Amino acid sequence: MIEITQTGVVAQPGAVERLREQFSATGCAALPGLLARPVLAHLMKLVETSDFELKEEVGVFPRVTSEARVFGRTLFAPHYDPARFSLLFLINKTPLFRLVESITGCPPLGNFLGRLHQTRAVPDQHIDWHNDLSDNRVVGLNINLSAHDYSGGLFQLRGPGFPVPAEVGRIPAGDAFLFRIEEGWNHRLTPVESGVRTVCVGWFRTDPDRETFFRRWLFSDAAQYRPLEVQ
Amino acid sequence: MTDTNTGERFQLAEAVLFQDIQRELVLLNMENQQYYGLNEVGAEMWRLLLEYGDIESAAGQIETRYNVDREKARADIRSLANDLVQAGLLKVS
Repeated sequence: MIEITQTGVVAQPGAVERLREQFSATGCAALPGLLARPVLAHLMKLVETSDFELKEEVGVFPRVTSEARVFGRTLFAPHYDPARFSLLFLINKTPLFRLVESITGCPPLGNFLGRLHQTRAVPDQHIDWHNDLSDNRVVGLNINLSAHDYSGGLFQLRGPGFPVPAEVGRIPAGDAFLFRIEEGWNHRLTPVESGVRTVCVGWFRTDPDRETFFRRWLFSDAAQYRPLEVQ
Repeated sequence: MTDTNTGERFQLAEAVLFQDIQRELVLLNMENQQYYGLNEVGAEMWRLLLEYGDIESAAGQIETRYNVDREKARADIRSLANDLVQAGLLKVS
């Protein structure tokens, strides 16, 4: 088990080895209880107040067309959303990067960028097969933040030599999984059949480095920043 | 251990996250979405307050490690602790 707490990241002995095997065999690695309960409780309260809006997922698929195409439609929390901001602040930890590198064998990580998605049981909300291969992304992370039950909304992942997709359904809030982002690997979200599915989904990326990422992104909103002067 | 002067114990507030970013410690209060920066000196005081829980012990560590006058260390830590409590980053008991 790997847990992100208020003060750091804790990995149980043997967890990395077990997750490495799982990731190698399926393209996914389950991270039950990734968010420690006290942190999760605050994040869930923030998610309740998030103001989601419907947006299209757009990507370029070079083997199909050189033009961008819509491959899904779901609800997104806005760029500056307190829950999203807090999650990105929490997850961008060097010790977590080292663990993910060790589990997945990915190159050295610089940052994690993610967003909050909400998908409802309505006909036009789903995300089709796509690969996330852009913007220095090397490993995906999905954290469940759903407050209530839902059905459907399966995350499916398929890759070369894996004709039957790996599949992740509803998991408890605060649980998460890593998923492979590589040439030949694709994933999708099947339609939600009932309820509301809320997740943080994002990518561990190689660039920019963590400090640059924080400086450019965190301090860009000066109104929120209060230096505490110490002589 | 308790503060020998006031008996105050300091703890990290539940809604607070923090990150080392280069030479700065950045603290985020999730409840009000304010975030704060501490320079290296402030970050060291923050760590000592979290580790030892009271001003007197933290001041003793500063005195021993950095050869700083105990009175000055105590006053500086108390001033920072007051700011941190006021910002909702530390809670006091």
